[in-house]
Amino acid sequence: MPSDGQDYPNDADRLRRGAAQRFKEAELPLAKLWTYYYGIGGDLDEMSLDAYLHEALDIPAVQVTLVATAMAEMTEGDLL
Amino acid sequence: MATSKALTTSDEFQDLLLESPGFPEFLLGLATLSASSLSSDESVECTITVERDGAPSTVASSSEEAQHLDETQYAFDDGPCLAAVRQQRVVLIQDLGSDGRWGSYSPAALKEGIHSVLAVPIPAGPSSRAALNCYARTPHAFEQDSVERVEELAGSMSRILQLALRLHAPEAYPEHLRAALKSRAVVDAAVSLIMLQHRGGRDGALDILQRAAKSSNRRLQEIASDIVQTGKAPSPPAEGA
Repeated sequence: MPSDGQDYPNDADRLRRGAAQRFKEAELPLAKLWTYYYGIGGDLDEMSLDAYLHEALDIPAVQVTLVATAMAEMTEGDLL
Repeated sequence: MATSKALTTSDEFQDLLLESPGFPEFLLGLATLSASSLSSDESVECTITVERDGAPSTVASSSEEAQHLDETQYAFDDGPCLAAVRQQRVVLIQDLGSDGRWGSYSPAALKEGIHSVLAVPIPAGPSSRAALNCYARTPHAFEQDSVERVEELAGSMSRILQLALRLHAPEAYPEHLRAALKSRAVVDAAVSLIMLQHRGGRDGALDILQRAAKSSNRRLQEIASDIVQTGKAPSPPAEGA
């Protein structure tokens, strides 16, 4: 059983898996997603983003949320 | 050909450059000014062709027929205006019906009702080539004095055209990359402002931006833009929130 101290990594795992899943479903081209993510302040290079989206790399929490925001805003289209 | 109308002044050219949002609009204005300055009893249509190194050529036309004629030349990759642009020489066709030089271009032009063509190069600097092309519906519309007039007009456009080419250099980045660059600049400015107001770090500032976007259901870039415009950063989340 995970102790309290492991809550955060588990949360990160969950977020990362969710992001990978959404990326696959949204069928966004990586270059387009990276460009948008860069536009809202993202700091990772495209290769790291690719690795993260294939669950091969852990990235800082703030980048995790920026990636999520980028995907959400891109798939929302002109909703806002 | 007009003799009474004064040549378009450099003031008019400058106004045109100041008022044009982009290069195509500027060129269109130049073609229109040329046509009205050269038309009198005989109506003259004008196109201006500009070829820039490493960029697609731009054509502006004072009328649709003239536009077709220029496109015809690009389709055949030959024609009086292309010759004027690429070889930087004056091309005069007194009567398309009897001028055998232009192959398949001639019948296409005659079909549009054009009988005389005069194409004059416009000096456009080291990395561009341009020409002012004039079309008329009667044969022998362009005599020696009108050739001189068109050459003078083309010469008077040279400076403003080179200015316009500098001002409207081909965009180095496609639209979506420019949008990202602009958005990033706004987000970075907002982040800097939040950091300054809260004496916080970059990650914390990005976090504040994201929370504000989420809670108001707006795009992060819009929130950032508001912050930059008002100079007011949203409050940081309460401790432990």
